[in-house]
Amino acid sequence: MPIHHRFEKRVFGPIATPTDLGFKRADLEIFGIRHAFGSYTALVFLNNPDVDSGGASKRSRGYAGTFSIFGHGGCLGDAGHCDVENTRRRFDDRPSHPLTPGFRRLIITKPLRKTCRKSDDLTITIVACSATDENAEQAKRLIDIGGLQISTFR
Amino acid sequence: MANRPSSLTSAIQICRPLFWAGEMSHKANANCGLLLAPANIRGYAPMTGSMVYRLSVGEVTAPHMATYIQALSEIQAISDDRGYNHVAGFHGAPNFYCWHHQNNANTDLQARLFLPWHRAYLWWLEQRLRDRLENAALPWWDWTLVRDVPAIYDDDTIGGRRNPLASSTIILPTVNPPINRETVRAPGSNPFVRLPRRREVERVLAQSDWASFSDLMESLHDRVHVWVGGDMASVGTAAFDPIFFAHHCMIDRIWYLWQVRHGNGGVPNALLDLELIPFGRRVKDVLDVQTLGYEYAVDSMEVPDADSP
Repeated sequence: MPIHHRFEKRVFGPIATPTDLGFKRADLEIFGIRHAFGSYTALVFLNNPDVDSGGASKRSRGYAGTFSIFGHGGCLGDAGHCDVENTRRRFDDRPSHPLTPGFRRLIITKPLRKTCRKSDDLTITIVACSATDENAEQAKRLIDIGGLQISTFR
Repeated sequence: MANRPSSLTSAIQICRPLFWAGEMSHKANANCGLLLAPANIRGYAPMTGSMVYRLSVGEVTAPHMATYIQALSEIQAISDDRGYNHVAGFHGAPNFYCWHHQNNANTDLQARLFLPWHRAYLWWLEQRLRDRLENAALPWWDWTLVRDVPAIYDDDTIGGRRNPLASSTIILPTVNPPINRETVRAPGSNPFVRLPRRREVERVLAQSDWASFSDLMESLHDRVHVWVGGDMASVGTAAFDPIFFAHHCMIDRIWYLWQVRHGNGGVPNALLDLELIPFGRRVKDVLDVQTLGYEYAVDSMEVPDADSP
């Protein structure tokens, strides 16, 4: 199978780092993940917006974690098959559309604490790579998400 | 024990030391004040079979693999609703019943049904396999130890015949565009992904709340799909690749290990009555693997009756 590699980088922030470092756990929550196309794996970095997409690894500065998205691999239906309705209809409690945007959680307690000690600002960089059949339908954006949230817990 | 169906042999009794589907049925009926009908009454189907042990993927010479390969080969050759192609189509195309990414936009629940839905799915396939060979059980691929596609899933042939573990034919005439081809893989082709390591699994097992455990398990699971690549990396076609079920058996086994460690108390009450479509089971029906007729074991062997000729 001829493979097409695709790399993409997105930078979020900056935001002010948490001032209270007494948290016992910190989660990076990635929500509104669209997953209609190819699967990918993403590396997450704190305060390293210049990380090289192709050369990024767990050894790169600011590495905080990895997540993967099991994508649908493109549409296998007729027109409208992959359209996700944004409204709920009364009496319709069937399971939601398979392409309802998803959610991922990374536990980033140690990397976040380390970053907060060094800086007042925080950026989050996501670098993703997919390896799909070169003829596969491709999304406009690989990292197609609704947003990020950091939650800390005592 | 005295009421055990007569078709069960003493050799099997010794190597299946837990409890029996047949026994459970007798007890359940006894509790209801009902009597089991004798086998010669019309309409009564005597219950056969025992629980099966799901074991690790092994060599081709291992008895549990030989049984599994035979049963899988048989259902791959069936084109109706008893066949592999039909069951594979529950997950992705053409039915898309599978549950991923924890979301349900049509209820207020953040319904983490990923693990329960796939447990019911494995059980369904296992029943189809056991329809062919009663002792067939799904094997699990421990990717923390076997850091590549297991050799038995990689060889094109076994004993000079087509290897049903290496691929299957995807026959989907109703999708757009229609598909009729063999499954493909591209293991290790994504430079960002490695198979999960044991310490990562341990970290996930240490989570005591259901939401964290389920979320992190799904992420580990997704990573293996991405690593295998090819059809396994697309929800629409993944289940047609026979390695899908060895991977998911490992995922189910980790959930089982988590349950042994943490119990089921963390599963939210609101989830328990949700139906796992199309299997006719609810979440609460799949929490105990023994009621689904299987257990996970490291090894299992028959001990022959010393008195038999």
